[in-house]
Amino acid sequence: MASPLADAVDLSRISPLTLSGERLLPVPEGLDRLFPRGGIQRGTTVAVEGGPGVVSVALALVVEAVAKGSWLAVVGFSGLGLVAASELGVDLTRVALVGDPGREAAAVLAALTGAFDLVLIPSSVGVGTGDSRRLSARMRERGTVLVTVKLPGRSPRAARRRVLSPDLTLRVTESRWAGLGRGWGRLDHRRVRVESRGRGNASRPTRIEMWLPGPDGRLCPVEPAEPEGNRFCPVEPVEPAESVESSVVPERDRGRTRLRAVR
Amino acid sequence: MSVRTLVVRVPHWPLLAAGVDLRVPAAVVRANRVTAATPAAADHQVEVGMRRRRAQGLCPTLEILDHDPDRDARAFEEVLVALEHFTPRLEVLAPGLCSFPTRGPSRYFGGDASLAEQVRDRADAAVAEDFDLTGVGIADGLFAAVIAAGNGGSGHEVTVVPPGEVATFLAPMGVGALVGDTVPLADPGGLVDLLGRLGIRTLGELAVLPAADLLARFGPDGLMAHRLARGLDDRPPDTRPVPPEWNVQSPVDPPAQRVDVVAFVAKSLADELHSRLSGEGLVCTRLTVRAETEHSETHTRTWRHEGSLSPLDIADRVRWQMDGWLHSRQAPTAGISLLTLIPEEVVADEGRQLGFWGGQTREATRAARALVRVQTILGTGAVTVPELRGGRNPAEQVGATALPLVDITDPDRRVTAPGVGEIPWPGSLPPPSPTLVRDPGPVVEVLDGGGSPVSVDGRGTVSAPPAVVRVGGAGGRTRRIVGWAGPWPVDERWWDPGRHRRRARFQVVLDDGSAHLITVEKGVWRVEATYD
Repeated sequence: MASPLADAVDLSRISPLTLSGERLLPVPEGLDRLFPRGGIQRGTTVAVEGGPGVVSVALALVVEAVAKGSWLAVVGFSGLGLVAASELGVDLTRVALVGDPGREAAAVLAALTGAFDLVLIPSSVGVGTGDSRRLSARMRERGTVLVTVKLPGRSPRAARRRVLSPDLTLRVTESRWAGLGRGWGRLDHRRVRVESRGRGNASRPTRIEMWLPGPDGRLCPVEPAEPEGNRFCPVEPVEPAESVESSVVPERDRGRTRLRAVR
Repeated sequence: MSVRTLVVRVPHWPLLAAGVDLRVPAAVVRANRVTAATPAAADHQVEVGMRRRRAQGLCPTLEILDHDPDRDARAFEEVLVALEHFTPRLEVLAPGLCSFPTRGPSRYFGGDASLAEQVRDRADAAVAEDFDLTGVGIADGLFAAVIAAGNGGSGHEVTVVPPGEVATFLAPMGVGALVGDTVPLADPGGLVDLLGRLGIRTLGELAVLPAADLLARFGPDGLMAHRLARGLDDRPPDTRPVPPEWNVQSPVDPPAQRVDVVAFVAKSLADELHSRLSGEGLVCTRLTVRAETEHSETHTRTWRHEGSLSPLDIADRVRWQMDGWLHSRQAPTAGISLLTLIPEEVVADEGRQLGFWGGQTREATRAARALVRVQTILGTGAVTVPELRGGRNPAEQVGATALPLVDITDPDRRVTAPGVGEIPWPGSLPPPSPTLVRDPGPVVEVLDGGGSPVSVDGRGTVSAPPAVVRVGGAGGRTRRIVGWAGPWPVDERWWDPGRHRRRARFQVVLDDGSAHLITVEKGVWRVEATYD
């Protein structure tokens, strides 16, 4: 039988203490400002929603953690562009894909919790209310981060089944592609604006802008300190009145797109 | 004195379990490598460890079978039932390999040689077919008996090593014999390789070295190898019995007729047993699983594992045993209502040092286990790992390999197909790639400024600049096109009428800021991918 000590003390209660704030998954430079602690707090749920750009933002969230050795499970996300993920810097050797779990979503997510640091699901994968409470408790204990993505043009399959209520919500409010004209050029780089809002000390909204991807194909932050008056916009634009607010347009290395300063 | 042991080895077991005729070239493939091949395949120079493509190249008619330990273990149950005629103390080492102590049976069946002959004949009958393959070996100690059973190479041999002559029997064997599932060495491959380079090529040469020097030079592994080479047991006999209160048991309520339900109970039992033993600093090397039905039918099987049985190993073995029982001729008449795990032999846990660089990481092992569990929930094929391949279209550029075909804990695993990225694909789209790929994409209409459909002619000229994308026919939702480029024609596999595709591709940015890759093929426009 177990030793008397084990009977007297519940051993699970004296496991080494780590404050949850110290258990962070790293995020790429630039995105860190969206998180009050500078990284994704383990055991939490992050929802990505809003306009075009949600999938890229979700992939950008996981890049750094996967590069540092975390494993990523992608569940029920048919059609995720893994080539794009690889181009953004996600190491595909630590990525596993799970097909649509259907009614077994809760069981599948519970099995992955703990073994994977990151689980990426579209918001159409839902679990029942009771399951979601058990699942979030398990995630907090095991330190797995769930990233849910609200895909464009796809509504949740069933209203009753829902994903966990997010601790932090990232909202993509703006996405502007550059490099494409009317009949010429090609999609080259894009600027997105992301707002975060959450519970607790994340309740104060934060806003950042990123190149996603940047002109070199990787993601990079838009330089924050910018004189307001200096505005650039691609030549092509369809609505010349609207210009992209930015000071720094990164060096063009391919020279496909011409850029013009608008003063 | 080591326990005198009889070992039965059925060669080519994974193939026999799959019901393959050994005269047909066939091979079992795991993670793209051949793990077993029929003699007919061996005639074509197909060898274990070969890549699948190479094996198929050598023998185009080669039948490829998936690696399936469940199937192997389930089928082996029939052989075990036949061997229970001799003794109830059967121990399963692996599917296709089992052992029992001969003391008792040997005297009853007329001596070692007579026992071995009878065991072989009975096992051959159970394996069926018109082949006589089974190898039987009797020797002092399991290690020597396993070698004796496999000594004939082609099998169907009986080797009885007389008592006390194990060291003589082992002396001419190469040190390569230390590599195998039944050898309790942490890194036998590395040790054998090193011994070979040091000029120690046979077990006899190893046995004459001083034990203290081997311990000093190679650590516990060296000492263990030395003991084995001298024909001793891998560890000194332990007379202390395992206290019966370490048994764990759990009722299955409601009684289960299905294997997965029992396996689920087994998993939690195994966790319980494992945590109890690890609290004492012990691991289990031999375990008896006993299942009882509502009608008091019982099924008992002992499993042996060199190294240690992890909770997952234990759950696997329970699943194999139940699978075999429930599908055998002696299948129970009622649901399984009680499951008991009895640790038969425990040893001090020496732990295992994971490599600093490379090697299996704990994260990868954990991930692999979780994925196997998900696979049991959703079925094989639901879990895949990505592979980047060449191609012109986003849907072609990434493939999914089913989990059983890869070993994700392999640190050298590559996700890029050979050659990809080295040679350009003419006609493929430059990065950035789309983040959402649809295959086939939803049909849309692309209209020009005047509202008439846009078309692309055979020379790749656009009839008019596209201005509007409409979903759902006349009166459907429309989006203005604010930027576009194309057409980029692609004419693929024109030599094959069945797979010929001719398309023109466009990138468009719509007025909501979304960017898409749309293609037109035979006048039908589709949104093939989205740059989300």
